[in-house]
Amino acid sequence: MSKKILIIDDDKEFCEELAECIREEGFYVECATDPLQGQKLILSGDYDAIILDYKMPELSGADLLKKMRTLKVKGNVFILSGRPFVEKVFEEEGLLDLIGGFFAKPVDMGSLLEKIRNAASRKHDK
Amino acid sequence: MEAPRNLLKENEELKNRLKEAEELLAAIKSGSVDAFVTDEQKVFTLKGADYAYRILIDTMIEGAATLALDMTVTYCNRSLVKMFGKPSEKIVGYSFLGLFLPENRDKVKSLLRKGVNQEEFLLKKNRKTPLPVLISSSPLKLENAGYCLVLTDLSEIKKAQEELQKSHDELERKVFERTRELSQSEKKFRLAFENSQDAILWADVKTGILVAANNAAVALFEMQKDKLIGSHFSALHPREAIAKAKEAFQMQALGKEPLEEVPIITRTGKIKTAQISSSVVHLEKMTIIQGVFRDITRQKELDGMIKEIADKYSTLFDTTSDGILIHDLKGEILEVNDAYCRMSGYSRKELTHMPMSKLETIETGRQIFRHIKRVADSKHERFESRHRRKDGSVYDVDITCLYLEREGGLIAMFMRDITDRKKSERDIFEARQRLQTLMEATPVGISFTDDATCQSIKGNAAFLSQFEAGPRDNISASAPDENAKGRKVRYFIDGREIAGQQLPLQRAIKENRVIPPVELEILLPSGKRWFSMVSAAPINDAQGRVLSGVAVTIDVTERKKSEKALEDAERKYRELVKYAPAGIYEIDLRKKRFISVNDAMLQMLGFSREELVGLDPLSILDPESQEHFQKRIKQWLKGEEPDKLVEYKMRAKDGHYLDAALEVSFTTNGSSKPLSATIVCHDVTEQKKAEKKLKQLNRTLKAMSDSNQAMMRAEDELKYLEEICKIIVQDCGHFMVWVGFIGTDEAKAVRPVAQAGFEENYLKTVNIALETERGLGPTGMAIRSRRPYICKNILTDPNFAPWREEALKRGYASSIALPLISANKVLGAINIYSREADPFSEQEVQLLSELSDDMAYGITAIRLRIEHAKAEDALAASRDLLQSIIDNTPHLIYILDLERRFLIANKAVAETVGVRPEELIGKRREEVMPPEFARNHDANDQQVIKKRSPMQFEEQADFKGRTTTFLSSKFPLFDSRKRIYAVAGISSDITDRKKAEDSLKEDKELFEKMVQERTRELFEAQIELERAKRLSDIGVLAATVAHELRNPLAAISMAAHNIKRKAKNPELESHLVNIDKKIAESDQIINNLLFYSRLKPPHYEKVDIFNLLEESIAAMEEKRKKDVPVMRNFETLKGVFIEADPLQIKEVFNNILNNAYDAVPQEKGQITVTSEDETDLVNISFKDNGEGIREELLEKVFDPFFTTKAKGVGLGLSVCRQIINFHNGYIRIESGPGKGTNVIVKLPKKKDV
Repeated sequence: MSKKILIIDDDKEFCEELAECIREEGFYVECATDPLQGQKLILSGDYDAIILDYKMPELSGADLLKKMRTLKVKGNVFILSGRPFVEKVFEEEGLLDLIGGFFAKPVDMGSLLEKIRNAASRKHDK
Repeated sequence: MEAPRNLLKENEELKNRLKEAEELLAAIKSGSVDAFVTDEQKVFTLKGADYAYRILIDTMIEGAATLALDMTVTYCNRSLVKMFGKPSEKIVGYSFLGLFLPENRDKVKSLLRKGVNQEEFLLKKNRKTPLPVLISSSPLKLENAGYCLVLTDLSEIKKAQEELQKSHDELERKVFERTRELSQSEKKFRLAFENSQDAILWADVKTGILVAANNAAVALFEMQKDKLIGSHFSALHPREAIAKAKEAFQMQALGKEPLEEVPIITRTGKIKTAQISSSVVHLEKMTIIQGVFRDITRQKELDGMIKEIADKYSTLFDTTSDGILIHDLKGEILEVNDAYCRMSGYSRKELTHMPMSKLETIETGRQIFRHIKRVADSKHERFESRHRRKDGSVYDVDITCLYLEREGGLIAMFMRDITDRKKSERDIFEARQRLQTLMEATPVGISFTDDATCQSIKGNAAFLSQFEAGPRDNISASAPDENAKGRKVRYFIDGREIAGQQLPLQRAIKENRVIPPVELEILLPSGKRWFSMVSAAPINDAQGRVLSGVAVTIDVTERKKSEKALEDAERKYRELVKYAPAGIYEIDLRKKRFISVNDAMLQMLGFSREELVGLDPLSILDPESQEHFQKRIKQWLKGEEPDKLVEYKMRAKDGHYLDAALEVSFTTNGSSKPLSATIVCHDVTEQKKAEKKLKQLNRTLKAMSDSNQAMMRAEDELKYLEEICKIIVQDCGHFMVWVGFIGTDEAKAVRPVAQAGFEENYLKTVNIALETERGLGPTGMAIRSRRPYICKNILTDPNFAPWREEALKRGYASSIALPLISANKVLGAINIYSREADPFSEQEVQLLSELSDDMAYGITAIRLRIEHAKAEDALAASRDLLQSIIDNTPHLIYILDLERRFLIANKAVAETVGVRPEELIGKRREEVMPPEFARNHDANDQQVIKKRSPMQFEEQADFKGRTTTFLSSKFPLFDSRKRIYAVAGISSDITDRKKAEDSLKEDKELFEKMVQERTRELFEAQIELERAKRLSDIGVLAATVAHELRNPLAAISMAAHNIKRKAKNPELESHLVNIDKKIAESDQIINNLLFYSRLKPPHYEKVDIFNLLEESIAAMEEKRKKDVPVMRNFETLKGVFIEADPLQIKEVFNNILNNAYDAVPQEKGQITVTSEDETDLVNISFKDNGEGIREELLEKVFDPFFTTKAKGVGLGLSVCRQIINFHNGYIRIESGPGKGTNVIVKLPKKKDV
C-alpha cells in the first residue's frame, strides 16, 4: 500500500500542483483547502505525513496541531510558511515533537520530497 | 510591532517625568514647596511660663505665637498683634491661616508641617504697606502638641539693603564727578598759569634751561615765548646779578630758602627789580623749579620816596613831649616814640609788637578791639584812659586817636600823662563824697543856707527828720510866716519864745562869728516839742566876707528824759526790795536769827513775818542743806571764799520742800568773822522739775534711737517688738510696757504680742476687745481716736475702771496708750505703765508718739522686708524658669551692657560660642568671637543705642571654625531714668537657610538645564518615534504583502516544476529557468521587506568579525559573478571577536556590498574593504569607484524606500542603519559626484559600550 499524504493549504492552486508533484513520487495524496475539513481528515485518517500551511483563515496550522495534541492524534507534520522564523511559535506552544520540518514558500521541492520519503519509510519501519 | 509600542511607552514616561519636573520647578518658584530639610530641634513652649516671661515675650520685638495642632492661635504677643494690625482677641482663638491671604495659606501650612523651620513671608492682610517677616516655626511637644512661631520683622534689613544700593550708586556718581572735576581742574590750572598776572617760568632743575613760560613772563621780559623757552635762566638777569641768581637757583634746588628780590634784565636791556618766589615741582618726566616773578620796580621807587618823608616825620615823632604810639587794627603796637617809652617805662623794643591790652587797664581785649573799630570808622577820637607802666603802676592818660589809611589801617595815639590832674580831681571828689556821707549818716542835724540872706535853709537827713520836714520843705528861720499854715515852728529858750532873727544860724551870719551851743526848746507844727542844742558858724570867702552859714542841731530830748528817769529810779529802788519777786532776807549769824525778810520770801515759805522772825534760819533748810550751810560757814572762817551761789532745799510752812537757789553775801565786822548774811533767794522748784522732765525726755529719745537700731537689726517682728518693749523699760525707766495688735475676729480683740517690765500675768487679765465694753479703756480710746490716751491716775480715771484692781495690785499708778499707725492703718497699740501719777510730760508724750510711729514703721519695714525676701525668692524662681525657657528656644537671646559684657545669655548663645553658659556672663563680646566680627556687632549695637529703638541686622561670626549667619533683632534697655544701660538681642541662625537658598538656586539652575535637556530629548524622541511609526507602518504592510506574495510565488514555482517535469521539452527549458530566476529575485525582494519589518534588538553572540566579513564578500562575489574582485584590506580584524547579532551584521554587509556592486561600472569596477582595529570598536569601510551620490541626495540615502535604482524598494541602507543603531554603532557615507562612495561602519566590541 502506497503511503498516505495529506496536504492542508487554503491556496487551491498550490494544493493541486503540490499534490501532483507528490503523487508523481508514488504517494497517495489527499488535499484539504479548508482547515476545518483538514482537521476532520487528520482525525479520521492515518496519514504518513501531513503538509500544513502555517497561515490559514479560521484555523491556523498551530491551532490544528494543538487540536492534535489535545486529541492525542499522532502524525508527522511538515509546516509550510510564507513567513520565516515561525519555529518559535510552535516551540512556545510545545508542539515541536509533532513536526518533521519547516519549509519556506516558495518551496524547494527536492528537499521536501526527500523529507516526506524519509518520514513515510520511518513510519513503516515501526 | 514590539519596537514602536516600547517607544510609545517610553515617550509617555518621558512626558510624565517632564511634567513632574515642570510642576516641581513651578512649585519652587512659587515657594509652595520647600527644597530644604532641617533636623529636628529642641522644643519649647509658652505654657508654664509665668507673668515675667510673658512680659518678656510681650515686649520683644519679634512676634511670637503658639498654635494648637489645628492651627488655632492659643497665644500671641503684642508685636505679633502689631504685625498683623488686628486686636489680639481677634487673633487668639482663630485660625492662624486666617491672618494670611488665601494664596499664602498653603505656604504657611507647609512651613508648620516641616518641624523646626524658617521661611520669609510678606504680610499684606490688614496692612497698608506689606511687611516682610521671617517666620520661624518649631513644634511644641509639651502638653498639647502644637506649634510655636516667632516672627521677625525683616523690613529694616530690606531697607538697609536698599540703602546700601543707594549709597553704592551715590559712590559711583561721586567717582564720576571726581573724574570730571579732575579734568576741569586741569583746565583751570592751565588757564591760571597762562593768565596769571605774575610771570611764571619753569626751569629744568638739572640744566637751568627754561621749559615753560606764561604770557605775563613774555610781557615782563619783552621776549617771544619761543625765544624765552630754551634759553638759560641766567639770561634773565643783568651780568652783575647772574652769580647771585645762580646761587639762588642752586639753593632752591637743594631745597633751601631762595633769594627774594633780584634784578632782572629785559630783552631791550631795561633793568627791573623782581620779587621771585620759587618752588621745586616734581613732574612726571623731570623736576623743575617754578619761579613766579613780580615786577616791583615801581614799588621800589615809591618806597624810596616814602622813606624820605618818613625820616622827616620820625624826627618830629621822637622829639615831641607827647607820647606817640602806632598800632594796627588788631591792637599790636608797631611804633612808639621816646616820650611814650619814658611815660610807660618800657624800652622801644619791648613795646614793639606788644598788644595794646597789656598797656590798657580799663578796657578788656575785646573792648579795645571794638574801640579800634570805632576809631577806624570815625577817623578821630579823644578820650581818657589809664595805662599800666612796666613797674605795674597805673597812670592816667589823655589820648587822641587818629586813623591812618596805611598798611591795611593803623591807629596813631597821642598821649599825655594826666595823672596829677586826675589825682586832684579825685581828691576833691572824695572830700565832697566824704562830707556828703558824713552829713547824711550823722545823727546830728546840720543845716546851711545857700547865701547870706537865710531865705532858704537846707539840711541833712537828721535835720529834716528833727524838724519833720521833707527835703523840699524850706525851714525858714526868719520871722514866722503867718500865712504859711501849719509850717510854723516856734523856738523857746528857758521857756521864753524867741524870734527867728535870734536863732544861732541867723546870728552867726549877721554877726559873722561862731555862736556857741544854745539850748532851744522847739515846738513843731505837728505839736511835737523837743529840746535841741544848736550852734552855728558863718562861712567866709577868702576875703572874710560872709557867703553863707551852717548850723548844727543836736536833739537832747532823750537826755532830758533820762535825767528825769534817774530821779524816778532812785525812788523806785526802795520799793523794789520790798516787793521784789525774789525772796530777800538778812540773817544774824551769831544770834542765828532773821534780821529782815521781804514779802516774797514770806510768800515763798508760807510763814507770816512774825512767825519767821522767831525761827532759827537753819530750821527752814532740809538736813542735807543744813550740813552744807555749816560747811560753807567753816570755809568762810578759814578765809576761803565759798561760791556765792548755792542750792538748798527749803521746807515751807505746810511741810513741802522747795528747791531754792541762794545768793549769799556775807557781812563782816571788820575782822574775818562773818556777822550777818544777806541772802537773795529764788524758788527753782519748777525749774528743777523741768530739768527732771528733760532728763526723762532724753531717756525717751535714747529709747527712740535704740529702737531704730533694733529695727535695723530685727529679722523677726515679735523679737523686734520684745526688744522695743525692753528698750522703753530700760531707757525710759517705765514700769511695764506691752504691745497689742488688733485681731481680725469679729470682736476685734487686742492681742498682746510683746511685753517687758513688771507684768505678773497682768496681760492675762486685760481681755481688751474693741467691739466690747472692754474696748472703751485707754487702749480702745487710743486706737479709735488714733491719738495717745493718757491715764494720769489709774485710781481716778473712770475709763480705767475695768482694769483698776489688777493694775493697782501690781503698783501701776498711771498709763499711756499710744496707737501704732502704719500707712494710715491702725495696727494696734503700745501701753506704758508708770508707778508715778501723771509722769508723762507733753514733750515725752510727743516723743513716745514718735517712738510708736517709729515702731509702726519698723513693723511695716520688717513685714516688707520679709515680703521682699519672699518676692526675691519668687523672682529668683521666676528668673530660673525664665532662664530655662529662654534656654530652650533655638534663638540666641542675650543682653550686653554698654561695656559689651554679657549680662544675660541663653543656652543657645553658649552652645553657639562653645562654652558653658555660666562662663559667658561678664565676658566681653570680643572674647567670644573673632574681633573683626565683634566690631561689626558692636557697630550695630551702637546704631541701636543711637536710634533708641529696635533694629534688625544680618550678622555673621565664626564659631568653632564655621561661619554662621544670624538674623538679629536688637533693642535698647532703659533704666528708670530712660537712660540706655544695655542692648538686648535675639538672633536666629539662618546659615542653613542661606545655604539652602543658595543650593536651591543651584538646584533651580540645574532643573532648568535638565528641563531644557529633557525638552531636547523629547523632541528628538518624537522625531525618532515618528520615523519609527512610519517604519512600523511600512513594516506591517511589507510583512503582509510579503507573506501574501509568497503563496502565489510558491504556487507558480510549483507549477513551473510540474511543467518542467511533464514537458520534457528542451525548448521550454530556458523559459522555465527564467521563471525560476525571477521567482528567486522576487523572493529576495520579499526577504528584504520582511527583514526590515522584522527588525528587533539584536540577539548578541560572540562573532568572529573577520570570518563573517569574508563569508559575506565571498557569497556576494559568487552571487554577482561580475568581473569585479573585492580588494580585501581587513587583516587587522583577524582574531577579533565582537558582541553582535551575526545575522543582522551579515545583512548589513550584504546590503552594502550589493549597493557597491550596483554602483561600480561594468569595466574597471573597484571595491575595497578596509578595516581598522581600535581599542573599543572595529572600523570597516567599503569603498567603490562608482559615480557617487549627489550632495542633496546624500542625506536621504538612509530614508526607507529611497532609491536611485530602477529596481529595489530602497530599504537596504535603512535596514543597515537600523541594525547599526541597535548595536550602538555608527554608519556614515562619504560621497560626491564622480568621487565614488565610501561607507564607513563602526561597531563596538562590547554591547555595553
